[in-house]
Amino acid sequence: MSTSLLQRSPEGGREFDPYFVPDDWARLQYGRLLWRSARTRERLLAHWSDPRHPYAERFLARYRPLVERLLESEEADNERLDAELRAEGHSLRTIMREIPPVFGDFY
Amino acid sequence: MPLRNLSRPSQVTSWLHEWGEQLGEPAEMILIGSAGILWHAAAAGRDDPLPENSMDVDPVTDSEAVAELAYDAMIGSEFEKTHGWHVNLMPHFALRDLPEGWRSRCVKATYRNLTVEIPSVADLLSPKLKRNEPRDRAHQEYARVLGLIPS
Repeated sequence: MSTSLLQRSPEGGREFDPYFVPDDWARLQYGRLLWRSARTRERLLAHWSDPRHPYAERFLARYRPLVERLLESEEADNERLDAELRAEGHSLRTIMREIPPVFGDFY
Repeated sequence: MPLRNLSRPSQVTSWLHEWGEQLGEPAEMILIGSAGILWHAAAAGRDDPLPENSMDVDPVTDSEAVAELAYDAMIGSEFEKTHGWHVNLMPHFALRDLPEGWRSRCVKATYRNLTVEIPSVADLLSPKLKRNEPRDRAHQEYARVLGLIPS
């Protein structure tokens, strides 16, 4: 694993990582899990596209393809994805943060 | 504002029974955080309230079915309105805060289709005591008073 990813992910050297946000990693881990089923995938997409969702506008306008790319990947892909995203001006961490949360009152 | 009405051990075991009934097939999860301590209190036959209410429970799972139930139990959900607290799925990485060998010290409990692994009370308290906020020390004292850890 590259040193740069180690510094940014909790997979190693976590105590030195000021950017570790458990909620971001939870949205990635469980988003990937629920993405496997067409039913829950559609439900998430409908929720994230709902005009009441605070992320909806930027999700639909900009981040949907990148978020989908993350959710279609697996944990073992993290390092490769991070490198690819960095080459495109993003990073695993910044796109992970664009996975919209779920709001229980209209999910 | 999230509701903060989780305080009694029986609330945790009732919830586990409820999910065990709702699951259509066997599934597993690990329960960490204060809900794990409440589970141990219930297992010891106690229903003493936590010194300070909690707003959530923290499971970790590989089960799609459990994750789906948890997504239906987030802040603002009907689940939260009914129970007075919500479910906050934690990433696998959170388990790395537990002391080495924690898995071998877990207790397993089965609620129909749901099998739950609960780390030992000492292991659950370990990350809390590293954080060492007043609430964390209160949880340690709660466990001590109930005899869940040695005095």
